[in-house]
Amino acid sequence: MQSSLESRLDALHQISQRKLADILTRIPGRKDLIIDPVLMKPLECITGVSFLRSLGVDKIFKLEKSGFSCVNPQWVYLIYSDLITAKRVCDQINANIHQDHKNSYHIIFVPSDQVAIQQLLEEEGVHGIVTVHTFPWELIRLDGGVMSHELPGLFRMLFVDGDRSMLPAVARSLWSLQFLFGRIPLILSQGRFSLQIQKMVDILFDELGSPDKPDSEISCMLIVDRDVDYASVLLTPVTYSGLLDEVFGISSGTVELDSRAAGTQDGTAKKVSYQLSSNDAIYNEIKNRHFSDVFTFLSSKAKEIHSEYDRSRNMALHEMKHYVATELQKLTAMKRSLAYHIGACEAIIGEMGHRFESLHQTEQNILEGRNKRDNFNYAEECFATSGKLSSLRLLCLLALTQDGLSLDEAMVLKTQFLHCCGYEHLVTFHNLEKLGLLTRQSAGTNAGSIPYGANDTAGKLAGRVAQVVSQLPKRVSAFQAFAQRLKLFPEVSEEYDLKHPKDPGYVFGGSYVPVVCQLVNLLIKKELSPEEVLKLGSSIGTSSSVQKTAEWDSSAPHSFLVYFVGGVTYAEIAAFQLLEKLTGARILVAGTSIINGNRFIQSIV
Amino acid sequence: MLVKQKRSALRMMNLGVSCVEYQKVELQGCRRESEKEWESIAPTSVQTRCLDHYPERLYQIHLRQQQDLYKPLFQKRVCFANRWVPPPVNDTVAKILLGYPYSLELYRSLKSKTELLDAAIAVGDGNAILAVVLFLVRTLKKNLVYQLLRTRPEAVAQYCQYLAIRLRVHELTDLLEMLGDNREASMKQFQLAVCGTMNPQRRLQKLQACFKNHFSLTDNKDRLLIENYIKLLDILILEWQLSMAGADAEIAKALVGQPVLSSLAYTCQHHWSEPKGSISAPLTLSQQQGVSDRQFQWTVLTVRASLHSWDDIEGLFITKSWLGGKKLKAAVSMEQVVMQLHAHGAPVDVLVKYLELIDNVDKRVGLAQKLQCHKAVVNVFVAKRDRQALISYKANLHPQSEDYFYAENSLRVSTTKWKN
Repeated sequence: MQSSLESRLDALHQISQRKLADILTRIPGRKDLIIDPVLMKPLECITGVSFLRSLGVDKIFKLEKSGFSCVNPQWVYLIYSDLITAKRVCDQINANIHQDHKNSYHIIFVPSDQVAIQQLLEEEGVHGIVTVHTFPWELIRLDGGVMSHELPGLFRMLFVDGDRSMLPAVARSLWSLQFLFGRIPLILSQGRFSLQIQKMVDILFDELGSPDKPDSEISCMLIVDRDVDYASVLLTPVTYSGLLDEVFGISSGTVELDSRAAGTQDGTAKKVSYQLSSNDAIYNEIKNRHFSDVFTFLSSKAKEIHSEYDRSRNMALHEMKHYVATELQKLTAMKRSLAYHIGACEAIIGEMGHRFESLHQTEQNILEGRNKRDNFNYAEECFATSGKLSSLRLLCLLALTQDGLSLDEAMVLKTQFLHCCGYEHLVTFHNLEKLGLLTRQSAGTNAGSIPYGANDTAGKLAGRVAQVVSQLPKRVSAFQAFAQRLKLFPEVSEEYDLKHPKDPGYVFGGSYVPVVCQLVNLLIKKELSPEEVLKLGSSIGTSSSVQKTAEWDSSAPHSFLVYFVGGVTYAEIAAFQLLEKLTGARILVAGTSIINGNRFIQSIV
Repeated sequence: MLVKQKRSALRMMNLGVSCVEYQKVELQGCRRESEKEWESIAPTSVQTRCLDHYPERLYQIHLRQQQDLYKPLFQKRVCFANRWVPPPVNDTVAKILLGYPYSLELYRSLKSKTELLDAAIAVGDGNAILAVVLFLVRTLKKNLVYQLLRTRPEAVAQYCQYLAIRLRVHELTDLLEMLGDNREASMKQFQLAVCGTMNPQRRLQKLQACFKNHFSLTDNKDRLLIENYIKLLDILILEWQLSMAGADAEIAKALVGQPVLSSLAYTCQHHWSEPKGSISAPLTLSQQQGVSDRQFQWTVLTVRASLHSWDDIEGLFITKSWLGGKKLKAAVSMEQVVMQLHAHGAPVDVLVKYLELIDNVDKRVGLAQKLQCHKAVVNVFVAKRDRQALISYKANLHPQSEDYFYAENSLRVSTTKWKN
């Protein structure tokens, strides 16, 4: 059972690889490949340079403004299906045509072809000259049961701009997955986009066929919109992998350790790419540990390796031969990995150490709605002294937990932010408002049909009412009410040991359990029926649905697929992996991308 | 011929994965004509090392879809209909979703157009929604398009995003204003005026126009911010660049694209001593832009500390009242101040002075120990009249160091009434 699940996950890569191979073999002869730089990392997960070479790819360039010098008459562009990049490609091709070159041009779009792009190609006059291919890659398996579609722009497109053109691609990948595993009997969707994806998956089953397997290897799937749980994105994680992502940024499972961690001795600023995988024994041990526990582990490991080396010194010759043949290589690899992680740890401490404690304390207070004045002060201080990403994160968290800031509070923070980061960020605040992460929703502008004036006065009134209400003692916001209902604030007692966690809330230092993790937890323990999950959705203002097939029996599901529309965080992944360990259920975690608080804010700015 | 090509293509794709016996598979609803071809492809195809045929089938479906082999499916459905009757809207939307060729030209009645739009929205495929909206825009008069869009926010968002990326500003503003979403319209205009214009003078002009058109209403909450932005650009472009010569003018040019605090930092560095009221004095700029005390103090602190002018910083935080007493007026927490001073290499004496201003004694001791400011620690113990603690702390100090003597002297002072 387990192994078949694993090999199916492996099959995803092979299918993606063959899809690409199919396109490249249809372009005969030697060709130059021009890749959008953001596609490089995900592509490395699917295939390697030697594979591309075997398919007739000669030179590989990055798509840049400056241009490049292709040697072969076949140009193959590989880009995300996004209008701006497509325009740039059109410009390059047009420029080349004007120089009287007779090359043949191909564009491969990831993940799908778009009407808007077709229109652009037509308008630019390159329709017919350019051959268009699409490369709908499958979910990319990053490590273990973690998969990502690697569509980093999707969050902004959906939640900020309301652009749904990538939803079919997401639906397609979920259809593929169910084609491999068998149709999943119980599907829960939370949020408007998840619902639509579910609808599209049904259409795909009708039109493209469904697997004839009687039972699925996954018993329950949850599709969740990111806006169901923003708190898990905004809070600062305490796990090693979470902090690594926070400080260095992990892209497609590789982390680039820059001079902060790697070149400290000679001061060179060369970057070292490091593949994070569970095959690396040390990383596997520390990835989900509480950060304070990581360093002790690493130092004990270092001592172990040291004694191992010592032992080799007193070896007899025949022993030595065996040692060099088998263990030495393993040991050197381990030593290298150890050096990376120690370097990374030091950099994390340097970057976050001075404010980690106070930040964590404030976050906890904000979550539970305590010491509002102090929290606001802390945020203001953050605006004056820290970077723009971390200050906006705090602002979002404040707004989220209080169901929106009052207009005055929002104005104070907004003005300070614009002063330190530039007036052009006015648009950022408009985006935050659209996401419901700034002022109270009644003052927002998401309802386009209401005339402006009326809307604004209503907003003012609501702001005033809210101000009065907020002065009343012990006001519980909708966020806190929801959190208490779902038991998202763990009870911290004497036994609550962050180093040997018994509760998924440890990923945020014991202050908050990620919503979806708690849902899965309750489903496993049968404390919550799927129908009750459905009802929860309406209390946070999202729509939800349950879909059951005839095969679904009411026993508690034992294997899950959790899919986040808009991205999943490393903290959530760690929480799910702990849940796996505690309950024995198998949980696959997937998302349109891997996200963290900083990337979240960046996509709004 | 086609089959041959395909077969060779498939052979080339052999990835060297170990094989499992191929199982014949049938796909729902897509047999008939294509079946023969399907079988002819299958035996040569590669298999994955997975336990069964599902990965292979999945891949084959992809391949066929790419090569338009699915046509029979739709032809079957459509063939009964008259060629001039539009196909069911759901079929067309499904075709767009799956990436098959489709045509919208037959949807000529307003009713069929409306149904088509609703079907696309119901499925939720943004690509299909956009395709339909573009078709509507092409074939309907403006009023009717707006009428249709008014009650369908999903379609509006999709179309607006398209217009914004294609930089069709006029159409976009018209649409948004027609729909009554003035705020969105004003934001798009602002974005374009600011982010889309590199030339400072042009940017200022565009911003002024944008202000006049969208932000001049008195109840607009962003009005003040935009006004301040215009003032800032005014100062940088018109006043500073003209009044300052040479290198300063160059810097002023560079500051145009930067936030207020950068300009403030610049004035703190180069125009610190200018009298109040001069256009380039820090305080003038700060007041004119409404910079908060906290940010003002932090900026001044950072700049003056980097120049090691510790006296200026004292003037910033400590005001002398008329009776000669000292009064603290810090908007930033003193811990932050001390840390920042330390980061810029302030001497111990200066640090001790600010450490004394931290109200919370425990925090003060903690920070003082961390920064090796022993004098501040000693002072705390003296104030607490805690002799034992002082003696044990002295034991940890470097003998014969200045701090050591300071601690010893404190112990020796006879006026202190020790409690232990």
